[in-house]
Amino acid sequence: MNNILKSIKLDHDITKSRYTMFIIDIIGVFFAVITKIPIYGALIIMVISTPLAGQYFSVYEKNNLEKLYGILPLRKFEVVTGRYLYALCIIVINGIIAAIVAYSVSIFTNKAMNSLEFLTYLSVGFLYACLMVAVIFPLYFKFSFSKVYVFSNLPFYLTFVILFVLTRKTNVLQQTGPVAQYLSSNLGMIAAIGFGLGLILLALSCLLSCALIEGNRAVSLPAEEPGKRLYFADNLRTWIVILVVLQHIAALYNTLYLFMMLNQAYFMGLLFLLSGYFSPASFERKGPGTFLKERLLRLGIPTLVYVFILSPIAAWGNHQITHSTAGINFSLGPMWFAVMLLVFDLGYMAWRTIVKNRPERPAAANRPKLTFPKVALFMLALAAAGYLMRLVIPYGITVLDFPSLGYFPQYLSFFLIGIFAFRCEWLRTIPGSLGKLGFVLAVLATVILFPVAVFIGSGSAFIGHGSWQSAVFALWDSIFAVGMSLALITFFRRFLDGGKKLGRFLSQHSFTVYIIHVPVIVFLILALLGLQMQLLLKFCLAAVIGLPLCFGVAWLIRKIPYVEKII
Amino acid sequence: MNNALEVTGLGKEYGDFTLKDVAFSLPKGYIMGFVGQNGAGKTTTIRLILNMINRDGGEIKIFGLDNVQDEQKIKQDIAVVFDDIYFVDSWKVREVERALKGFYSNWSSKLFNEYASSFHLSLDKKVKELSRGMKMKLMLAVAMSHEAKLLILDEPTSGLDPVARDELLEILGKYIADGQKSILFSTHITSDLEKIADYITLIDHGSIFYSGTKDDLLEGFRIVRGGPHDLTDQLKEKIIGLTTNIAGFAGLLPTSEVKHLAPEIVTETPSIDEILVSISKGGRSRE
Repeated sequence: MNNILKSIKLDHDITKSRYTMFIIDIIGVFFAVITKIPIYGALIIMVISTPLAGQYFSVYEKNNLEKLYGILPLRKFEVVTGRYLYALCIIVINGIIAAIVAYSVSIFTNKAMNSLEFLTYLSVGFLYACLMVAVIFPLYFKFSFSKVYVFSNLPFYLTFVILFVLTRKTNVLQQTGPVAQYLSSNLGMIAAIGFGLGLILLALSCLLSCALIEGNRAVSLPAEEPGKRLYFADNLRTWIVILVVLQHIAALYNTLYLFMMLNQAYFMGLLFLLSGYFSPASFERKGPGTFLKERLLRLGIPTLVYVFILSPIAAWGNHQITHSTAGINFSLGPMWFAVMLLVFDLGYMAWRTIVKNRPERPAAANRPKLTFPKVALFMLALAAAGYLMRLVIPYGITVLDFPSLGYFPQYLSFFLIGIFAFRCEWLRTIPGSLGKLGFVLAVLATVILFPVAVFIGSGSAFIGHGSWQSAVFALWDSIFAVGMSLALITFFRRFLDGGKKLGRFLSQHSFTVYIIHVPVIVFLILALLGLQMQLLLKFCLAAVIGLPLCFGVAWLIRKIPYVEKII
Repeated sequence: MNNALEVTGLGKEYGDFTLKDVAFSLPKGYIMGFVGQNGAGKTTTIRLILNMINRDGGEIKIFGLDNVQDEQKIKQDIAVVFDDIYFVDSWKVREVERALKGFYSNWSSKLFNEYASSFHLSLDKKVKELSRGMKMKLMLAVAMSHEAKLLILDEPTSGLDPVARDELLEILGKYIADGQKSILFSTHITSDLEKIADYITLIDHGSIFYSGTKDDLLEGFRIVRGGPHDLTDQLKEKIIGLTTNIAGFAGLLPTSEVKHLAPEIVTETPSIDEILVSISKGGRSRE
């Protein structure tokens, strides 16, 4: 934190020679006086003086400051974060100047000003300024200032002028849909959205710039040491199993739909990727015969146990919750994953048997690197495959006890990528910047594409059948799945790579939890049935009790003789 | 840990230039000249050492620490003087100090003022008003005010007059007198190095041609000159940077080959400059 503060101070030292440019604010004052509408003047001040924050880059380029930053004991992310916070300071100072100007003009012109309305305008100005910084700064970090200055700023000014004229001529908010009308009568909400969204945009842009400036750096992270156990992959698998448990608690309570949709878009795919990653090494170590035996034992037996013992118990419990008539019910439940993985593994084994003696890992220098263009291309291909798949099997439709076959292209491709990632050591070598970029893309896709696909048009057009919403939805979930997978892999590698006792315990028991969690949470929910509280609170309570309970039961089960050898 | 700087297998590829398997080490307490013609890869190597660009492969250890993982820690003890000033030109000399001192735990304002005074740098002068020589001195004052243990100089003498260059060499000589500090001095003006360098690393077209002591370098090669008839095919293959004209030939030859020469061929001890010119014409790698 101390270094980020130093970085902000340095940005101030570097840019202070340009502070005279604040004089441009006079245009806002002039406008406010002429129109006798102080808030318009404030808005103009906010927008026209935002590029001041970008003046830093002009001084940087003119004075060869790349060299200065090359010698300073600052990390790149500290420099970037400092720059964004500095820009935020400039925006806030502009806001204060705008407020002073508006109040002064209102006193001078005897024109009373509604505080809430003023705050709303100020928040819109803040959002606009943040949007400008959020879009322009990554460009400045990537390209030289002189090349992109005009092209990056001009569209914002033009858009502002057009929007300004439009909103002055007509009361746009009141002529649009019910949401906008609600907003127009709740100005406080607009202010909150403006300030909040502005800050979120800055944070996302900051992440993006960090990714751009760090580039594909060949940093030797601890996890990149060849031969070292990938504890972060174990921890990531545990995290996914925890999400699976939460997902099923939410499903049983019939709540948190967005949480469930977001989870479903990536978590099982990522689990297939991790499984694919570990398959080649297991095959190499054990040979085809033992590999087959071990897979049948580890995936097949738990599936049979679930179908014939656990699923009827869970079904009975579920009937008690829903008060429906009980009957014997055998189902695959979450073990559809084990069945599909078994099929994938058998396919892999067949392929390895056909291409005998294939070296599993090329020399380090010949390993293809994972780059953004490859990732982007894969996202598009996966979106196309997902769209085509949902022509036949729409999203959310269960087929033969497989609940999410609409995601089959993702599961298969992620498993194959896992195998390829093992060959190329990608889990150890994926640049951290790609993870940040993935996260930014996942969030942007969720903010832009997801609402377009889900909320526009008739109810469930997005689930498939060749609708345009289905295409947008497929594009969203492809970007989200790939982006989140990259983000989580690099995040866990960076921060959760320890092989601590708790982490090891959780990862050793995660597969058992995966197998047994459904009956455990069904009976937990049954036990909590009498509690009178909000659904969300019930969900939280069930999660807090259910997760340790699942791991506790898993621990007990693994104490049974021979069980530990299988799961 | 006896090496201030250790580079092994360093690689970086651009579209039209490749740095290949660069390796050298600078022992603590010494000055190493880093020599090569323009575009040989000196600045790229320095930028990689400073982690200003990402390396494609290899390892860089500074004081035994990885230059990427321990970047912050290392940079507390590194100082750099580039060929051109890298401070905001509207800053006054005292503002340079004010802007940078917060970043270094060992920064001494007293030391900075002493250097400024001995270099005749006026604290109230703006950076843009300083001459080229004075700008170099300002960078040196900043570099030396935080007791850096490794000083990296990237072509600091280019564009300086001989007096200013001599002053710089004198300052550097004093700076390493305590035996705890080391200097990597990149330049293509090799006469400066003949005076002060203990070690020389010669880089040519992105590859290291030689890295070792200056004395070994100068003793390891001979300039050979002879008439047109003395130049046999066998000799042609061995000579580095062969030049022929109507009067005869000249070139660089490893000292180990000198004893096989015809008595008519004249041999001389080369200067670093002559070695540099010869390898740039057609080098053969050694070591």
